[in-house]
Amino acid sequence: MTVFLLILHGLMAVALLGALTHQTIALMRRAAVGKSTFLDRYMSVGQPGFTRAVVVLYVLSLALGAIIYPTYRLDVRIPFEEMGLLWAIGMFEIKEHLGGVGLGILPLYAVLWRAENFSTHGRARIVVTSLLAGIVWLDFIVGHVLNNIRGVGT
Amino acid sequence: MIRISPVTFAILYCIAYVAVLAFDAPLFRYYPMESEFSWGAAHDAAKEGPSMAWYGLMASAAVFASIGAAIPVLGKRLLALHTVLWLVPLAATLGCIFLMRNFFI
Repeated sequence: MTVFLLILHGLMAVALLGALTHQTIALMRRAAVGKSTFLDRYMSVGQPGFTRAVVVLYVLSLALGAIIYPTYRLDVRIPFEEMGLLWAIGMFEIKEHLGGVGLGILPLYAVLWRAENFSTHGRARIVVTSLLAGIVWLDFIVGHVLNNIRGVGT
Repeated sequence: MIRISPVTFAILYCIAYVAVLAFDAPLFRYYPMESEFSWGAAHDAAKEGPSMAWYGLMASAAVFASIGAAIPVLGKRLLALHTVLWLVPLAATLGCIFLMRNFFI
């Protein structure tokens, strides 16, 4: 069951990564009108449409991570401690705390993507969206690397 | 009817999260070996195995942020500070990483 939830957690994270990365890149570089290369089409996406998907995917992904977490604490972290892999424990601690902070950032992110704030809060929107994307990327990579060292369910 | 400002909630949550992390002040702890919760920040000696503070840290931060976000004027005032608003989540992220430095030195 835990392995199934871990795979689901990973798949949610992939979808979240895709949505957030797409939105962030589109935000940083406006699409050129009249061009039709792959990159131009990639950047001309309707960015606000991603916001609700990002919020839902983030909450679901975090909830799944929270359900799996006790298994990590007992079956993975204790062996990490015995192996002296403090850096791995530290990386997971960073992952969990940034995940927690990201949850709190979500309401601000959603407000900044509202139509009425679109023309006035450009910098805040860029920084907050990029920060959220950075958190999700870091959490994804750290989770993947640590699972390679000692996976949940091994 | 109490209305909670999402902007104020997010800003106060970020500040509160770093504070409760720094002072190790979760609202409760979870003991995975016994599948039980224990109120308060202190480790419950009667419980077996390691304790987990993460859920309690998020709950502590959410409680502080909810109380502050119920103050109506704060939301509009904070949103008006849009030129520096982004600094708080960024600082909270860096603060969390800084607090974990002991694992790497």
